[in-house]
Amino acid sequence: MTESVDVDQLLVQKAQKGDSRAFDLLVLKYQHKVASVVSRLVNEPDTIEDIVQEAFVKAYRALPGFRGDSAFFTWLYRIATNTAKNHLETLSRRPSYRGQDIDEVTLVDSPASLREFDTPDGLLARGQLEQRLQSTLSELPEDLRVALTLREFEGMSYQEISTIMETPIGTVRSRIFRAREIIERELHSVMSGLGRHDRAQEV
Amino acid sequence: MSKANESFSAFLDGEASELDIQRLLKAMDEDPQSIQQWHDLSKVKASLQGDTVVDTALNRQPGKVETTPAEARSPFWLRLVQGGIAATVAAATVAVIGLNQTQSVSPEVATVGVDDDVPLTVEQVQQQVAAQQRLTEYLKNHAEQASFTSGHVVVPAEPNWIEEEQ
Repeated sequence: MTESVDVDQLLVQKAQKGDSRAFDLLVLKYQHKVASVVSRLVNEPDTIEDIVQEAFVKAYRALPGFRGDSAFFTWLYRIATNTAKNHLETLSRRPSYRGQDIDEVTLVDSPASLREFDTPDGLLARGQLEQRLQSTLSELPEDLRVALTLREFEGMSYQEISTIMETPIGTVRSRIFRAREIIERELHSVMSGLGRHDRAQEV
Repeated sequence: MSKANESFSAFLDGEASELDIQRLLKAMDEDPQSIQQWHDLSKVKASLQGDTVVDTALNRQPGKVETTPAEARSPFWLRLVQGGIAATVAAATVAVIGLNQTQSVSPEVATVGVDDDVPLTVEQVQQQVAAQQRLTEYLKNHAEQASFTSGHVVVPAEPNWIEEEQ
């Protein structure tokens, strides 16, 4: 059940041969990680989404030239940071942005508390999400909670969790999935509204 | 589907096998809703990890030609392609002007060449209108881009080529 091949590389190869589903899987896997990288450089949620999307488009177009010398995410990381930096450079050429001084708009490494994410609605949504996450986690059956906690917070591999919990890897994998499924069901309403797609649907 | 979802969960953790990947690709073909479900699962992991949640996967439209959001907002690169076409048209215009010196065309305004002797169909006229619009757009863009770097730029005048034809 352990990973015998580099699945990212496998998907890249499939995408290079024209299988767009393979690239869709890579987007699903890395979209939030890329967004986290971009959010260190850019504040506005909509802009972050745009830059993430742009980074993936650039990656898709550059895919034929990707030889796999580095890991896919390392390569994607570079594309995302360059895209974000280009965005900031473009902004700095303009005298102002939406009537604000450009320096106020492009605060790099600004404290998280000062970010534009922190609109009252955004803060409320995040606060609710964290609370609900904690309570849902604590209400999970113990076997699911332990497996997920070891994975998400301790960063353990399925093999390591399997050893600790003295259970087959297949069971670990199933427990982690079931835990996520329960959390998704419980938190669906709270998690809606985190992304732009959800925000648009709410209107 | 549940089995595919479990495979996706393992894929998120970097614990998927080749068989899982095959299962996921198959599920994508069989159920278009699978991406939405997997996206929701990915949000759970992202939330637990403290990552920034986005909807990039949902905004991608399978089968559609990839365009960047910047292109969608201000299709500069697209315009460059159109500009290439317009440049070809402009070159043809220069050739027509060179051959047809008697025709009074202002040298400051680039226009799409029109052969007056040949009666045009509606489709050809539409093509010319489109070509002229692209050419005008290209010249404007060129002027805008030049203004970023030089500060000295001549903005092309609006060509009244339709009136000239009449």
